[in-house]
Amino acid sequence: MTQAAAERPSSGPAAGRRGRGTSGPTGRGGTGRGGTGQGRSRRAPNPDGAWPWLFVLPTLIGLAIFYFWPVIQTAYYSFTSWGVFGGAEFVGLENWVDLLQSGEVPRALINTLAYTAMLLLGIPISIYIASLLNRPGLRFAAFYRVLYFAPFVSMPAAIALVWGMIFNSQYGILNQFLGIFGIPAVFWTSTEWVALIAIGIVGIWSSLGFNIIILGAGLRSISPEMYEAARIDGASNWRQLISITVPLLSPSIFFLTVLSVIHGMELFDLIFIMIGESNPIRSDTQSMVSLFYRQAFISNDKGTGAAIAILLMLIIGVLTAVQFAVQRRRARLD
Amino acid sequence: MRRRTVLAGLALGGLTATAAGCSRGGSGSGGSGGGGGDVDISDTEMEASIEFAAWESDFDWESVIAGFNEKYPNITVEVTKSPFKEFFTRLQTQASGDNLPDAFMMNGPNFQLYASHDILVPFDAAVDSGDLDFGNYPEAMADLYTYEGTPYGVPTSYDSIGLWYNTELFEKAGVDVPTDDWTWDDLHEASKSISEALADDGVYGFAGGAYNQELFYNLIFQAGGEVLNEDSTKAQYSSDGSRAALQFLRDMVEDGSSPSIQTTADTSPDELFKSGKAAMVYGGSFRVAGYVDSAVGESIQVVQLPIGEQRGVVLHGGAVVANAASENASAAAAFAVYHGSQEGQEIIGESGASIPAFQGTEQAYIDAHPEYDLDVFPKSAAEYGFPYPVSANTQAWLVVESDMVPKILAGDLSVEEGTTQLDEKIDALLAEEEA
Repeated sequence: MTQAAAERPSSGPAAGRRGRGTSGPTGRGGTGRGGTGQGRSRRAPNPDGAWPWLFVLPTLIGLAIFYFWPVIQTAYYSFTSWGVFGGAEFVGLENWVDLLQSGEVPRALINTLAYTAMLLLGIPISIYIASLLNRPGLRFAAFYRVLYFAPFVSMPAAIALVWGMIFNSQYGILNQFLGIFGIPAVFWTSTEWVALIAIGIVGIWSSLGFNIIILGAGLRSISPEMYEAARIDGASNWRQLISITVPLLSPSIFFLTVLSVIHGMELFDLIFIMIGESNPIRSDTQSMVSLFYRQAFISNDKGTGAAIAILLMLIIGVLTAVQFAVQRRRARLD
Repeated sequence: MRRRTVLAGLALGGLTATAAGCSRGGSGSGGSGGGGGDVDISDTEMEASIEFAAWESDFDWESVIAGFNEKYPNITVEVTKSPFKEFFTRLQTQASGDNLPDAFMMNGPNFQLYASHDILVPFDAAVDSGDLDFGNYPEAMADLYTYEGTPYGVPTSYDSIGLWYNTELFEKAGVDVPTDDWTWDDLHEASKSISEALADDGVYGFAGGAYNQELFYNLIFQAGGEVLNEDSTKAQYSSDGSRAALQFLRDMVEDGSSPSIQTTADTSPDELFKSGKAAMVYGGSFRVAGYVDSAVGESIQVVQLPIGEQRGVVLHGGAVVANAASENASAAAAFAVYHGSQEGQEIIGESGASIPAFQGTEQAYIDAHPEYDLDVFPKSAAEYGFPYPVSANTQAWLVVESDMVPKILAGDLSVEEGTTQLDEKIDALLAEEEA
């Protein structure tokens, strides 16, 4: 009962895409087969006629107006030049050429990808913490869970402000702590690359809570007998983690990987607040979204802004497609 | 923690674009045909109902309106306020939709954008009729709100900059306190002595940083340099004066007179000053309220900025403008003109938060804090104020400036190389404005 209930979140959107084939503790094999079978049957003509469409129509209309149409419009605007007070004029590829020539995009892309890679590092950390929290008989487990989840429900702006104080070179607690060991003051948010690491640390810290909830649900669906059997066979804790926990968590891990990549590519608020005015590395520490913001809303160049937005959407699309392809391949290999 | 320059707020503006997009329609505006040519404010009996948009501030608009209604009894003014951060995003959205309020507040960086798009009522008729006299305001404020020879805004108030110092730290370091006659060399020498004498306490002589309005624009003008040329078509960072100014600041950082740019990126110059970690800072007239409540409030004083090749201080301030497309453009213009009259300006000055633009009405601002010599602000503004540099799309090149200047001051780029790059990039943006 509890297992079935706990199962659901772990097989959330990622597994849901593959249909209802997820079959509890037996894990991946079943999931994979269920996926392919479901896919085929979906293509068969629907005996219910147009009725299902009628039922999804309200949602579909909403999506079309508030999601699809703006995307199409943005794509169109990326080929236009905007007056400050409106009025788009078609200029062909000019924005795109400007964008590729400016040299700002490659750097912003590198920064964004580096941040995304750091967020992915958060997943193994989350697995570790989640399995600690999930140990049978752990006291105050609920309290720890709340503690780890707190950052997820806090305002990103507030998080960035508080971390900004922690990283402050003059009175920040981090430098004071390092000072005890005689380490000289580090300019966390105003040294090139170091600032990116600082932002990555905050990113990982904020994502832990959500990761742990998802992974915790997945962990609870793993049958304790597996671990018992492994222990009888003499498997170490580490061996159990690698051979049982990680493989059986793979739907959750995949789900988190996809989400972390999308989330990482959309980095904005941490940079916006932690890398302020008068910071010598501000232009070196832009992300794709912050570049978009500057172009569209500060420089009043909405056309180029739209081009950045579309470029970012394409990159996220490709990355996500690659992730799904890899996952499907792995599922088939099993 | 919040770094506050007048301009920082502007940069944050866009965040709420979508939110501001779907708000309210103005009361009497919305007309698309331009009626700006025949604005006439002489009829004090005219009947109208106008909307006036202001950003949130300490100004007592209700009293200004009450005064206005004594002169123009049949005009109803409704004030709509929004936070400064959202103000210009909202305005821009309203302008795109031909839905601007009848009268609204304006600032320097945004002014030419509106003036160049024929959105604003020209005030030359009011000047000709004697209702408005720009001789009453600091020259730099009149310049700031004049576009291609025509005034489009009535100044509200302005900010000026002074040299604030901490007497306690000077005493401790055994250095003579600044005077109104200090030169750059005096500033540099004293800063260096204090930094050296109080190194163990982590105290700097001078908190530099990389602010434009509060710091390097002043030095550029004092060195005889320029930020933009006369008609705002070319950047002038590589002019001799501009380079000398940036080099001076770079030297101060290099020999420890002033903290590294990385330090001031983390802890702003005014925070260093307020926490007693810096003996001197260039601070705006708008800093008074923050300084008086700080730990050093009892031991600080202010003098005029040190002299370079010449005296100079950059002036920036807000204005009230009228919407040329409004059906009630005359009433809106009348309100703008009244708020800039001596009577209106005295009410504006009552708040004590900002210096009213009308010369001779500053007393309330000065008297608000008699412990400081606040009269240096209006005095310097009147004698040697330079207008804050703006062009039609100021924000676009301010981004470049705020990216590059900190790099130059930090020594990542040489002054020569950096200013050359600045000019190239900004010239390209200014050329786009022309197109």
